[in-house]
Amino acid sequence: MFVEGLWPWWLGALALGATCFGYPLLLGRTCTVSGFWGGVVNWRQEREAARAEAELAANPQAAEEAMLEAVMAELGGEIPEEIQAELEAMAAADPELSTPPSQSAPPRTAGPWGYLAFLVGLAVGGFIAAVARGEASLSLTMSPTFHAIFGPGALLALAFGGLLVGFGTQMAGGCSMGHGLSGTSNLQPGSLLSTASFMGAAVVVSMVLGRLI
Amino acid sequence: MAGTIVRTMVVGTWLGFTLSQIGFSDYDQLHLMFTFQDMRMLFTFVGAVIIGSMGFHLLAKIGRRPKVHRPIHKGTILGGVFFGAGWALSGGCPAVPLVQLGEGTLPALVTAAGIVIGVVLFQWVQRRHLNWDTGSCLH
Repeated sequence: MFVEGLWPWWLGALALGATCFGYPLLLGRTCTVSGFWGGVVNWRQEREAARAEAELAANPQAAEEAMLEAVMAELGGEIPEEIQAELEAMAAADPELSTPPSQSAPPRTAGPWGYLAFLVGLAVGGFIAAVARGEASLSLTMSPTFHAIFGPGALLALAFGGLLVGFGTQMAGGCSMGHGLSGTSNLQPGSLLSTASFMGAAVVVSMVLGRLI
Repeated sequence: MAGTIVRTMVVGTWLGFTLSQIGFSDYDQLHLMFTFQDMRMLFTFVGAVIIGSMGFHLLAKIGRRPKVHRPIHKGTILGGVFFGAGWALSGGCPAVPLVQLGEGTLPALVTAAGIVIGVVLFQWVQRRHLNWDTGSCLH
């Protein structure tokens, strides 16, 4: 339960839990890691999306006005009386329709450069931690158990395992961060089921691999 | 825009440091957790979810809770199983290979390359054959 040099479980829980809600506090959306990989791979598409979102954030009424204009053009410039009355009744029944939601913080889109910055930050953080522990050095090997399991197939295991991680996280729409932490702490059904699936699969595969040592 | 990028990188650096200090980037520690030989990191994970829920409650109180919408879809279970198997094989949840590179573990480059290929492969299969509504990891 205690490993020399590493944090005790409760300190790790505090730091990881803080990331889970600190990211939305700073950036107005939940934290993800697999999403950043997808965002960097889809660089051009994400750049366009970030640009569109920034424009919308600068002028939130623009989209609404454009939509209204299109509808008006279709109707020939006038809203029929019965529709107008219906809209007013709807707005009266549900005040949320007529007032903008104030519950959520304004999301900040980092865009692909932001996603890349996050991924680079992960490496910087790993470097700082390794230096702090006095373990920073270049190494051509993984940890001992890994090589005991895979022997000469080590690089193949990394490549194939990585491929499954990339493929699976995109298919599930999240990883141990987006589903495992952000989603489960909001009791999202998709996240709970996906977390159970990846933890279950990881346990089964690890149990089988453990027999190879 | 620039401020957002800096904030994002600060959180990334914090997460990288945290994962390394927990031992998440160490395949041996991960293997001990998945085979239930050491419950430390499992406690860390469960504790983080509890602290995360408390944090989201506080965010809701001050009106800063972000929109979270993650329903069950066709890829929820199968994608999770692929990811879990890959994680147990390579030790790399998507953040880990980069943390390992920062620590100086060079073979993690192979894991990172594998992830990129996996992402591209899924997007190709998705466009060509599946067209599933899996939601984006980003939102």
